[in-house]
Amino acid sequence: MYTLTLAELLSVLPECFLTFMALLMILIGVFKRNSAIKTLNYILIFSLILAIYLVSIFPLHPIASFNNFFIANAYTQFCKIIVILAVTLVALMSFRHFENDHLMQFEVPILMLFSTIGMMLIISANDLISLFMGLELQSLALYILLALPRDQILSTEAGLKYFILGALSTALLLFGSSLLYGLTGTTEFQSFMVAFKEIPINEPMLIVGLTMILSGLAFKISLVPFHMWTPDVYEGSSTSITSFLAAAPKIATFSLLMRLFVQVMDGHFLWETAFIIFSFLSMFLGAFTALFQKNFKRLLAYSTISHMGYALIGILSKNQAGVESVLSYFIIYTFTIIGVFACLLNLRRHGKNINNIEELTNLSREHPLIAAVIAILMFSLAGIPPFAGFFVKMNVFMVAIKANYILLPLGGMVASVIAAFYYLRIIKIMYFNESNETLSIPGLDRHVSFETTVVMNITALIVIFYGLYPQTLVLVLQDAARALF
Amino acid sequence: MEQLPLLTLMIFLPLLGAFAILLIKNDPLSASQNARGVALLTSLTTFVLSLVVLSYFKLSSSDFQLVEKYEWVPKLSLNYCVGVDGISLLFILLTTFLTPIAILASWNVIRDKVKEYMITFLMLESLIIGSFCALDLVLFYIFFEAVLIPMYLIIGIWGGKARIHAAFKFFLFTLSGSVLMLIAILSIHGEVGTTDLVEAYRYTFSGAKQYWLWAAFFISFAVKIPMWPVHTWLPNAHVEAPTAGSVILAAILLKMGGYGFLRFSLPLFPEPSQFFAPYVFGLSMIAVVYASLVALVQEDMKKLVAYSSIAHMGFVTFGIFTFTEQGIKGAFFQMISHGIISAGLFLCVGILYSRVHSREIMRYAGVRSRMPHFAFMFLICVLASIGLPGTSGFVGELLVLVASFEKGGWMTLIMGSGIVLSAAYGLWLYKRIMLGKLTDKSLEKLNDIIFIEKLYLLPIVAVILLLGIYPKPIFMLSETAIERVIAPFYTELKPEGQL
Repeated sequence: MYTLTLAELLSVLPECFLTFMALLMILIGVFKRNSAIKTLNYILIFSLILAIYLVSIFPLHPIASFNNFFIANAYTQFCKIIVILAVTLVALMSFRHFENDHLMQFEVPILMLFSTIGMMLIISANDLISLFMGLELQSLALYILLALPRDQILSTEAGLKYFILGALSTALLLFGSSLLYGLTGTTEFQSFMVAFKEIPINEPMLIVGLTMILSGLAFKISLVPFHMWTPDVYEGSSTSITSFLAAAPKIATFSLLMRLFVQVMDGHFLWETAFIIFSFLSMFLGAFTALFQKNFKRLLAYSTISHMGYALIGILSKNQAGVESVLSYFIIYTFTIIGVFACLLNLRRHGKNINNIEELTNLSREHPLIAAVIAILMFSLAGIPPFAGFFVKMNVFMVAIKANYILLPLGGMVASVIAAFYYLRIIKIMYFNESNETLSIPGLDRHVSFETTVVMNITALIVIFYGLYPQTLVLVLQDAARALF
Repeated sequence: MEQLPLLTLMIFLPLLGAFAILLIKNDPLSASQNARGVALLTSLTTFVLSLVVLSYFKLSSSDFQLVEKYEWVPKLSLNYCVGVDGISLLFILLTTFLTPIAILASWNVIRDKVKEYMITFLMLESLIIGSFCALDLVLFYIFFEAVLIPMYLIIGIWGGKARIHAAFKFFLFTLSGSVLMLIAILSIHGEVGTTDLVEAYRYTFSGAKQYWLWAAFFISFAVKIPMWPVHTWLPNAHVEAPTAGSVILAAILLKMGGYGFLRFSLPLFPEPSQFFAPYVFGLSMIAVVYASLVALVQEDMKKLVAYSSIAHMGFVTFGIFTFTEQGIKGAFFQMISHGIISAGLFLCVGILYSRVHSREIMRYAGVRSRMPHFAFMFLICVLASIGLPGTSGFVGELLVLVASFEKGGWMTLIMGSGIVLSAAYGLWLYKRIMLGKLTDKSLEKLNDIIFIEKLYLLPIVAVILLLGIYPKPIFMLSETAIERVIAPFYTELKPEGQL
């Protein structure tokens, strides 16, 4: 007979707390309808901040709770903190822009919270079933969020696209899980570790099962060739939701992928080969396709794809340094991309969001601060020193070279030179273009919001600070990465 | 003995100035005036500081001096480690000497976004000094690569008509060269366990890997210096950059390539250096002859000077890869002197451009009669560029030629023809612009150089003549450092001789 202990309950306290808050928010929403949206947003931000606190106060000795359904250790703790932090930043910077983004429905903050809970479940999942639960909770909330602006054709399209492809990927994941279950008789990760040692390495059922699971997960983090939805969804959804989609869910799924690969699979050759291929394809496809994008959000989508490819390189070394490098990559990537979206949210011409990158023309005169922040973030994304983007990229490559992968870093370097072109192009448009050279562009709207500006500046400062003094970043990660080994 | 962290101070002083400029908030007019003042003051202080460093420098020691070492990322065994030897010290002096000149040269020319201009310029100075001081491979890479950002902005924002193309070409060419170097540095980190340069010097690389590493470093520096056939970014960048940008680009950024050869390629990988030397000779000879011929037919003054730079850099790469004392000394001297001469030439072109707004040679004739003072300064710069005895241009080329003679007389012949060609394009340029009759009406209104222009041209002309007549200080300062660079080649040659 299973009995729940206090320690187990405490290990899921943040999730419980957030669920409670979400239910409370629904209650408020039901009675007050859309007039409560401001209150709900504040509650959302408040409860997220409190959740960060709750996650961080328990310096956990590793614990598996609910019949090994969930685990909690320094690694999951750390990933949860990044995820919640990312969501907090997104919520903070976007809630003033909901009206412009056609998101004045009280469901928005609630769905964001539910999605966050889903991500936390994914991070902690220690069983294929709990993983599935987390993935679905996260994705279902996202499907709705994407399609919420019902009068917007593009949003609806984005939501539908993400839903259909997401459902397909979930189906793949489920099918793969069932195959693994059929093979091993268990769905629990720790038992897999034992079971895998007894199964011959090229057992067809194992290979098919693992491939399917990997495909399902790769879809969520938009690795090539499972990336097709990314640009359309980024473009179609409103900027607030895109920024939500761009950072947090990726970290959650990636952290799980990394835990599975390094700890549970013990660096299974199948996944390793797949990672090498995914990484190459993602880096190059992301770099090449972004060259021709005119839409800023599409460009960011492809840039995301190539960054996922870089992050994958770090996993391959299968050691603590590798995990550290990937985590640091993700932290910096998260801050950078959120910063870029914060800038985008703050920019509006004629009441419309900036879509075409040409609309950034003359920004360095109109709003020097935003232009400077975008420039810094772009240099960081391109991996130019002394910004943090360079350091984390170097770290990933360093780890890979130590593990005797030379071609991947070399390919990564080539891809990053190609990618530098489009990051530079954005700087060019902001700084070098004269306004009369292109079409007449309506002036900036005066609607820069305080919270968004704060988030924007914080990310820029973080990118500079961690570029100059990365030691702090590396130290923070140490415990988290050690927990996997 | 506790000492002031002089080098760190020198690296970060310009950044401090840049930060101060950032804080200036006035009406636009006085803000730009203040920005100019602060920038000049900062760069002059940095120059004084570099002289202080010079006074602390001990000639006798062959080690790195004024070394400062702090832990930066202990986890990855990366250190912040700076120090100077004779080679880097002279490059730093060149930088700190030319930056105030460049700022003076943009005093009246740059009227748009002055604050930002001065900030980027000071950042540039900081980063350049940093890359000459760095004694850690990763640190060097960071400075080396970060230089691209301000230079990209300088070309792109304050450049000429085709500036965007030029800025991109400059950035992407250099970047694609240097990412290979990063891979090599990381690979060294994997093998040696640290990127500390002094540690890496002690380590002997072996096997086929060292050839790859050498090639990666080589490509990066070859793009920077630039060597034929990766030189194509240079004419664009030079033509489009504002005058001061061209000055820094030609005078200092190109030297980072040569500095890289001396600091990294040769000492770290003596064996591959020797193996590849003949190819480098080949490329250098092509560069000298080809670039000189191309310079001959240019119609744009700045382009002509740019191609002459490529030719002169051909001498540098040739000299370095002879591995003889004369060759390397000559190459080193050539780098310093070319830094000053090309700065002078670009400043002269800039002065003409600011008055007539054309860089086309055909547009000018007989300018001498209107601008006698200018004509004199320009003449000195042109003659020095040709390598006339008595100017600094002569010393370096002569030494390289002497060294090349040991490698094969026919090579001396080819390199020598470069000098003849340089006389042809240099003198012809001077003749077409300065001499003859003043035919164009619009040129009659030209006025001679004003005080501020004299202020920055005179030091350059003075240094050109000084070094031409008395080159010894340069050799004295760099002697021990150069001996250390060539040492591995002689210890390796000796056992072969005994066999």
